Amino acid sequence: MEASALSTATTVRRLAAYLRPHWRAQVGAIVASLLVVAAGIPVPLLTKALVDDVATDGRLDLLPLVLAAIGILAVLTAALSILSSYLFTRAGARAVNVLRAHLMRHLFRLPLTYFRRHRRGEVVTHFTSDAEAVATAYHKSYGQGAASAVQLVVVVVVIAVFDWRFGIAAAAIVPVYMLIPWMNRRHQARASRRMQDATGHLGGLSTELVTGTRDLRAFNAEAWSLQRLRRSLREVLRAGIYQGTVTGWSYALNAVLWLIHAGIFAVLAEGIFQGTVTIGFALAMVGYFAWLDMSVFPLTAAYVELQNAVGAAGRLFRFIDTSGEPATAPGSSELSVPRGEVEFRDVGVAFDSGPNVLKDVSFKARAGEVTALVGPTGAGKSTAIHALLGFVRPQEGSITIDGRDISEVGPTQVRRHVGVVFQDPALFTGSIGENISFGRGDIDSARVEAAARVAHAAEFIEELPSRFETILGERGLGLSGGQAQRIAIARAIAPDPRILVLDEATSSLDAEAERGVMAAMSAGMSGRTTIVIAHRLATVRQADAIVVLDAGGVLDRGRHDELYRRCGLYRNLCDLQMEQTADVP
Amino acid sequence: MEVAKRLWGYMRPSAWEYAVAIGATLGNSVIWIVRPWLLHLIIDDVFGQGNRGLLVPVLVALGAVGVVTAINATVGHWFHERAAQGAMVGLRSDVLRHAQRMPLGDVRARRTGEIAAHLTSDATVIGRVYLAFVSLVFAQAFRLPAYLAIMFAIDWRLGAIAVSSLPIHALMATRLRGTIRSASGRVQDAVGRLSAVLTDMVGGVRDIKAANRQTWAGERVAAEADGLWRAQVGLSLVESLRWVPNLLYWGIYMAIWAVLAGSVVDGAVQLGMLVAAGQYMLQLGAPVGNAVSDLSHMQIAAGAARRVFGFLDTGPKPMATATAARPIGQRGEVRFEGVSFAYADGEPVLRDVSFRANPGESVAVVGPSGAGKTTLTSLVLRFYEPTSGRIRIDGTDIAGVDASVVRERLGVVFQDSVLFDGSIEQNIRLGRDEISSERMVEAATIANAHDFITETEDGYDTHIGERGLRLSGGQIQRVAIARAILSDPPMLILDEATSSLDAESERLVQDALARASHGRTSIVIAHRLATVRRADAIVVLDEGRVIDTGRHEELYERCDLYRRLCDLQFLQPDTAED
Repeated sequence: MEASALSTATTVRRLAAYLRPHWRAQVGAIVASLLVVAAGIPVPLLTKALVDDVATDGRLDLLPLVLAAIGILAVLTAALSILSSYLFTRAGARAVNVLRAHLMRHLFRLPLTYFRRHRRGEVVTHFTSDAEAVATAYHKSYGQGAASAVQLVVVVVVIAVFDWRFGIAAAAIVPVYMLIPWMNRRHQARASRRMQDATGHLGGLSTELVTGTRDLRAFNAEAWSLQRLRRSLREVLRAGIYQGTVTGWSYALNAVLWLIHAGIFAVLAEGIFQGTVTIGFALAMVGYFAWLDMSVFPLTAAYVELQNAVGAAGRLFRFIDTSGEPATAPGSSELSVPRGEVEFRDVGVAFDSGPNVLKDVSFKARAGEVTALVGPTGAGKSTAIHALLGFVRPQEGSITIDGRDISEVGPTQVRRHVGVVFQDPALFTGSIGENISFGRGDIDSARVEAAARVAHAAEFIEELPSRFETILGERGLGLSGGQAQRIAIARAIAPDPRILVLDEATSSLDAEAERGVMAAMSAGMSGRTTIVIAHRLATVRQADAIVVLDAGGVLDRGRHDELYRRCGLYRNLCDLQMEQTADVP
Repeated sequence: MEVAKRLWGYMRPSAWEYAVAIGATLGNSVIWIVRPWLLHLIIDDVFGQGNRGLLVPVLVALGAVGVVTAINATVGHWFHERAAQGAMVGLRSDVLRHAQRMPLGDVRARRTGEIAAHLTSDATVIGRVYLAFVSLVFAQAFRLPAYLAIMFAIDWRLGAIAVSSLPIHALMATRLRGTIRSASGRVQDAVGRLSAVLTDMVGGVRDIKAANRQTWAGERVAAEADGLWRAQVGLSLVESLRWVPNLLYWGIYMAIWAVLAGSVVDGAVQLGMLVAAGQYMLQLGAPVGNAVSDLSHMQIAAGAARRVFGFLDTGPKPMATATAARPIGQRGEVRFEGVSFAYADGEPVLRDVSFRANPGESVAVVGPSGAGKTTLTSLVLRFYEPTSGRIRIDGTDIAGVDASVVRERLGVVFQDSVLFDGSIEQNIRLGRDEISSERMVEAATIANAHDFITETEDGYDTHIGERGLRLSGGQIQRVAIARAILSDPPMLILDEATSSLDAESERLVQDALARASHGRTSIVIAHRLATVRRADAIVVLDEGRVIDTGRHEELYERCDLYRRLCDLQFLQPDTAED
């Protein structure tokens, strides 16, 4: 079930909960930022002392004192700022890692159907950019934003203490300062999105035009591609100008600061001429207003980051709140599988109130035998396997292993005794050995090699320069389909499961590779209960029992010869393949 | 220098945008210089000497400085952007044109990603070189001497302090930037590693669950997340180095007061001058830092420019362009006469290949993989020139005909047809906009594509490709067939057009192909022999040589290789089906 969206307030509160364990660092950081504010307050006054007392009144004896004070405050400010920033980052990044761990745990609880509805990249984004947005918010919004708000109030109060008229002016200016970024923020988001889209489009187009060059040339479409490139560039330019204008507006805020400068001098001019106000005071005021200007920016940034984080966290929490598959039944005893007999009894499966994908499916896979499931696409073969593995939960009937109902023991227990080879096994970045042992601590290198030998994988692995240490994956070695399958078989049999499931394990291989994998599979099957799904009937002809599925139900079961004689669908499936091959000469 | 001259050539079309951008930059520099001076005027002339008349003009100037700054930040930016991007339109077009002209094999050998990078990131980096240059010459090289001159004018000791601070500024600009960049690089790497592991894990979620490896997967992710956390904390520490310039400023501030306070009291230096000097000192780091970053931008851009120009200069071995665009292919007779071909410094791929495709007939080329079948189509399409021998279309040697003229007369369907990001219509037309919509629909109908196209939500306007609707392999091929026959070419090349399809969609595509090749000369390359049995002639290629030519039955009788190919598919019942 997809979870529904959360309100902003709830999201912000839930995010805060992740910070709570790190409250000590958080409080330390806030105290440090408040001390930074405190250290900043006397600085304009010290400037005033320099101008009025030292320079104007000639009190050179004060000079070392004032300069020393400035030096100490500068060092203090730097040190405290560094400390607070460090603590904020630390607490935020830690909290986000806890969040990531939650996400990860949840990821594996989600039913497989979730991954059919959501693209891989989309799910990964939750861990990367969404989580990063939250981390930034922890730092900028929950941390520095709070500190800036305090700072803003303090500065206004300090100004007011010196001169209430300026205090009012300062309080009035703050909204103006906030207003422009506030109005700008939507544009800012839109501008950066537009820029990203434009450059993304340009990147995609460039790759496309280069990789598609054969087709473009074959169709004399060179001019057309140039035209498309130019159009894309025009959009990049427009997006750039838009973004520049929006950013320019933030710079335009500088104008306000200079107008304030002029204003302060204009207001104080008469007093200075009269001698009631000193120049140093005017300069100190200028200093305080400049400070005011500086403290508004982080506050707006804090708001923007919080907005981003709320969006990202909303997605994250919706992901976490999506209900997962049933966990292991609590308090259940170990599943022991001495023989490995699997039985489906009247199993019915339906997805999300749709029609039944499986209905009344009953069959028995006898211990040590090979049972094949055949049938046209959509007959429910893979669903049956998924039900056995606990990826889906049957609404009706039961599946037992050596007489024990698997819903009582939960999927984790079942999977411990069932080895699976899928049509498209996922290999992970890491060594071949790691891909076979799959991180199972009890499978040492001797067992890995033994499994590889049974799976006919050792032959090609031994030929690689680093053998079992060869790194696979994105930046590593790419394997052929047949080799990947053989590693998957080794992986499946390495823990020596009683039951082996081969789900279209050779369907995507060519004839040559298939032969090798078939040999590996028969070696892997020996002494195990095996359930085979295959599209190609040649693979299943030798099975001890064949179960013919059609539209979710069992149509017939038996051995090849009997089925060929009496089951129309089975004969059709066989003949279709025969005909296509007999069609050649 | 050579590089600089070529870059100059690209910016010329946007010269006046540059002029405005330069004007704006200069204006900005002047404002930076004037601002502190206004402070001096207020303190010393207005208040110090009681020159009331000067108050209003100075205040107005102060306000005006702000307004001009704001205008500059917005308007100046437009022209900068236009100037930089405008120059790159020319460069990018040149890159694309070159990529389209160079031999096909070179495009692949050069890794398409690299060429795409020339079009995108390299060009962007180069675009910045112009701005960096403007900034260096008209802002930094202008401001820095001005600041120093003013300092010396006020008092030589001020000048001395300013000059002695320069190396520190420069050092910070270089070191600091480098350190921060490498720390944030480490964060980027950590993010990359994390998302690589995650992509693995999310992609393999089924396998992980099936083998109960959730904990293992969680630990791998946690390890990378931990690395990211460490990198982030490291970056935050390194970023705190940004405080160093701040401390430096306060150090200088203290120094000038310590040194000059006495002179102010003596009246040798005006108070406002000292205050203004504080402001100048505050700004002094900017031109130094900017100059360093401008120079490094220019350096990076020079590297990119060298790469791009290097690419543009790779001898495209320009395909012999035709003397005259003679009309060919009216009848559609294709003849190979002793054609041999070898890729640059490689083994010969085709040796002395001769055969003929009569108008309206279909000729199939079969043979084991690596026999040279696809090379053969590349030669007809004039992607490459034969090393020796001739290919004639209607009697004319195509080596003397412009490639675009040849291609105009040939429709081609590849095994892995490329769809482009855009509508279905755009994908069928590929820029041939002069062809009527009726004809396009007709082509799609012949290609068995019309029905599925009209079933999509937006019909021919449906967005397909990378960001659009995903089509199945069979649908892609049918769009490709419509594309191939759109301009009603007399000749058709089908290069393994159905090899990567499943049985079901293959039937639909075969059906479309049969109709599409009706009345056209077609050269069919196929791995699966079932598809070529009915060809008018079959050419058997092995290791680049024609070993036999004939019809299916005769070849099955007399050609061992052909029979072996047939038998392999026959005896391997399952291969014919996938």
